[in-house]
Amino acid sequence: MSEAPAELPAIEIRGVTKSFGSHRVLDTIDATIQAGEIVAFVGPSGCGKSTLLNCIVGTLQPTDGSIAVWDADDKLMRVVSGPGRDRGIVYQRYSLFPHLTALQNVAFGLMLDETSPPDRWLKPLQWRKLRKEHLAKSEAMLERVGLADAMARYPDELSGGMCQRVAIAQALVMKPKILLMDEPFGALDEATRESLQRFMLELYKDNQDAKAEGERPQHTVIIVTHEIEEAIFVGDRIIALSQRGREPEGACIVLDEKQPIFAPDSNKDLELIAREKEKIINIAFGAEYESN
Amino acid sequence: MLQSPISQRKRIVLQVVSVFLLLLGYTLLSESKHRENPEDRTIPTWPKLAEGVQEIVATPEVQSGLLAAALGEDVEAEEKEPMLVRDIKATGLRFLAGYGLSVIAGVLIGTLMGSYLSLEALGILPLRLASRIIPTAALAVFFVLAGTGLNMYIAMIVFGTLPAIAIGVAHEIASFPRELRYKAYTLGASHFEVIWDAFLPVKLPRIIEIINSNIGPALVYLLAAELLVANQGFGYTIRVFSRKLDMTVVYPYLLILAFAAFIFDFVLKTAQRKISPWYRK
Repeated sequence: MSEAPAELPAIEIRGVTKSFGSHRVLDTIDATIQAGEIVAFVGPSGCGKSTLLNCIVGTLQPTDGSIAVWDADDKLMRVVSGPGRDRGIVYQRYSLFPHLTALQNVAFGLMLDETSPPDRWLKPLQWRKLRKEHLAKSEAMLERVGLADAMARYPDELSGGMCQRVAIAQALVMKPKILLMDEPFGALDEATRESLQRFMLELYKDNQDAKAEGERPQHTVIIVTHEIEEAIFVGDRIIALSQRGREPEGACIVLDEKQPIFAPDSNKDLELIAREKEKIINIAFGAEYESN
Repeated sequence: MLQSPISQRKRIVLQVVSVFLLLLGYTLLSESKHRENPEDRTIPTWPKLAEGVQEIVATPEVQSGLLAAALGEDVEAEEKEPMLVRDIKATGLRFLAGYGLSVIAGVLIGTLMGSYLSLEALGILPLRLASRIIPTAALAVFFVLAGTGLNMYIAMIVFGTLPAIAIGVAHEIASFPRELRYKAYTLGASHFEVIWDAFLPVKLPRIIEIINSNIGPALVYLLAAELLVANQGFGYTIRVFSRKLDMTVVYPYLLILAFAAFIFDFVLKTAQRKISPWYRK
């Protein structure tokens, strides 16, 4: 059993500043995210946490500084210039293709990634065989997120919670090096949200198991949320952004620390979460949090 | 209260009543005209209409061109086909060729414009200008450029409907949710796959609606051209009989055209349901 290196950077954010016109949102953000971390970005609304995430997705370009992602074998660092195969994304809404069933949605990425339209047209037999494998993989993934019964339904016929489960399965089946989530549970009811949060803890457990085996952890996740409890519960590291008292300069990182780790089936230690939450609020939100 | 729902049964009864009133009104009107002038053909009675229909579907014994010759039109080559068959062939070919080309080119141009903003910028002003020019008023231009053959009708329909189709499709493609576009790229899609596997299937039901809603204008332009210059086809026959104030043929022809429009609408709506079962308005 070989020892996995302790430090395995996945994303490097170097001096990222982002302005929209004369309005500066982010001010020289520096952070390194390790492979296998589940990082939560928190902060008051409008603090730029989604902006930072979109810079990592590549749909926004930093005004200054750069973001780099390590490639699959951790040899090469590539500066992000647009959305790419190595970074999966789950949005709060609009995450599913309306013309595909839940199962087809999950298999869609495998098709796009592993085949091209000429392949499918010119080698139909080969494609049909591969398609079966894709569907089997997708079924297994949907079962894992608890949707074995809803595979043949269109997104239109699924509840919000089910849609987000499909969206997570759609991203995970691709085994992206990095999974980015922008308020993924923001529109869901309390019970659905907690069951999905516990699913995220399972991903963390996968990582721990992989590390124990001396393998590279599979899941590196960044989750943007305005719910501090969620960040503490799901994340093993919290990065808080705030522009409190420095509006013209844009937001910077005001807190970056490891968080207590919960097992997927553990009880939520509410007292612990409450203590952590108070600390984060004091640092990142200040007095105005009460009025929000 | 306004907009209170009514039962299905009441709805059907009222619809039957409306058709009945329509038929009754026509019968009374034509009878009174008939009493004034037994030879009247502007609002023909039912038996006279039946004669007109007979004339439409019967195989002509004499050359149908004689009638046109008497009115100073170009004399037709001898034909042994019923009037209706001849006109369906002529008008149908012009419509399918013209509108088929317009749809293919319009969807292609619209998709490219919706996908590449520089092509949109390049194409949008000329297309808007073209869509504002009234094709029927510009008929002389087509006449000069494309002659009076099939090409002129094709040019007329394409000019009249392609800009609207291309602009409509471009707008639909451009309104594809950007999160889904980003998502497709994170799933490893190529540019072509984003267009072929995401933009087009998601927007197909709307594209079918755009194609459907432009059938009306296409028929208007085609019929207008036929009314002016054709020597066979629906427009031609309507012109010939309108000049004689003989509505026994004109009314059935108008109904046949309306019926054809219904069929197109039905076919496209059925196709939309079959191709995109997920789509809800």
